[in-house]
Amino acid sequence: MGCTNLLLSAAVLLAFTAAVPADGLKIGAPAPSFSNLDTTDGKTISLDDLKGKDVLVIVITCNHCPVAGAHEDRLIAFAKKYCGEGNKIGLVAINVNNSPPDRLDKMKERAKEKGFNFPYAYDPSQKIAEQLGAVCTPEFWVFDKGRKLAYHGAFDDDWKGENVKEQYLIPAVEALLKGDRVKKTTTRAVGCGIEYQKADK
Amino acid sequence: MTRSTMLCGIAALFLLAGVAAAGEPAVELKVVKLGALDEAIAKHKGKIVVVDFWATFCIPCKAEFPNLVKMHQERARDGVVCMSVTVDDTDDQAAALKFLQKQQATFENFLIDEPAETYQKHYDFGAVPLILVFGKDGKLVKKFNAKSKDTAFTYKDVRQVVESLLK
Repeated sequence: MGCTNLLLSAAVLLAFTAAVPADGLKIGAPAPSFSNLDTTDGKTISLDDLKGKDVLVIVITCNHCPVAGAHEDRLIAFAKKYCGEGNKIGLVAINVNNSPPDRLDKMKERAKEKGFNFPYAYDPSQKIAEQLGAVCTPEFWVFDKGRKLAYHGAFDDDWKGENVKEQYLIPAVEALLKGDRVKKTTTRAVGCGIEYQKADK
Repeated sequence: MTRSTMLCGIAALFLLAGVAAAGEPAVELKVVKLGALDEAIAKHKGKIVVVDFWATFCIPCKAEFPNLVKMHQERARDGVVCMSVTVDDTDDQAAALKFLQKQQATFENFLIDEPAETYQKHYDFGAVPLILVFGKDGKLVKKFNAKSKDTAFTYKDVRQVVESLLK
C-alpha cells in the first residue's frame, strides 16, 4: 500500500516536473489541477468543483479564433445532451489568451451572446494550457472518473462541422460512461496557435 | 490642349498602367502534397529559406505576414528565399489567394493538401503560426512555434536568426 502510494506520488510529481511531452499530456496522465479561475457568470471554478462527475471534458478555447468559434454550437449541443443537472459529465471551457479580444469582458459578451450552457473560464497565467500541453484552440481533453486522461485531440474530423465523417469526443465520452475502452485515444487538433506570452522577467 | 490630345494622353496612361501591371510578378498559390513541399524547399539549397506556415483562420499569422513580405523585399537579393504555406482546406483556396494578393506575396506560396495529422507530424508542430528557417546546406536551423510561454516568438526573433546566417 505504501509502495503503491509512493510510486503514485512519484509518477504525479514526474508528470508535473518533467517537460510536457511533444504531443501534450500522455494518455493515462492525471488531470492538471486548476483553482479559482474566473468564469463568465461572475463565479470561479476549480478542478475540485467537478469531482462529482464521472467524466470530465476540458476544452481550451478562445473568443477570437474562427476555428474555436466554429465549434461553439457543437459544444452547446454537447452540453445540452450530456452535461445537464444530474448528468455524469462535466464540461469546462478555458481561455488562456490575453490579447484584448480574448479577455474576460469579451468572454462574458460571447458567453451571453451565444448562450453558453457550460462554464467558460479565464486563466491569464496560461498555466492550465501549459500543463495540458495545449497548442491550439480548440483542443479537447477527456478525463475518466479517476481523472486520468482517456482522450486528447479534436472534437471530430472536420473543424468546420460541415462534412463530419467521424466523431472523436462523443464516442470517447460514451465509452467511458459504459465502462468500455476508448477506441481512438488521440487525434490531431486543428486550430489557432495558443498565444503563449513569454513570462515577464 | 485639344480633346484628341487629351484622349491620346489618357489612352497612353492606361496602356502604361497595363504594361506596368503585366510587368509585376504575379501572386500565385500552388496546392501541393507533402513530398512536393519538401522538394520545393530543398531545391533552394545554397540559400537561406524561411517558410511561414499560416491559415486564413489564424489572425496572428495574418498580422505578422507583412513581416515575411518585408524580409523578402529586403533580403531576397542577398540569398534569402521566403515562402508561405497555408494549412487551409482546399475549400478556402480562393480566400487564401486573395489574402496573398493583398499582401503582395510575390514569392512561392503553397497550400498543403494533407490531413492535419500528416503535416503536423512531419514538421513536428501543433498549430500555426509556425516558421521554419533552413540554412544554406538545406538543413533546418530553427523552428519557431509557440508551444509554451518559453517558445513564444515574434518576427524579430526570426530576423535575428536569418541575419546571423547571412554573416
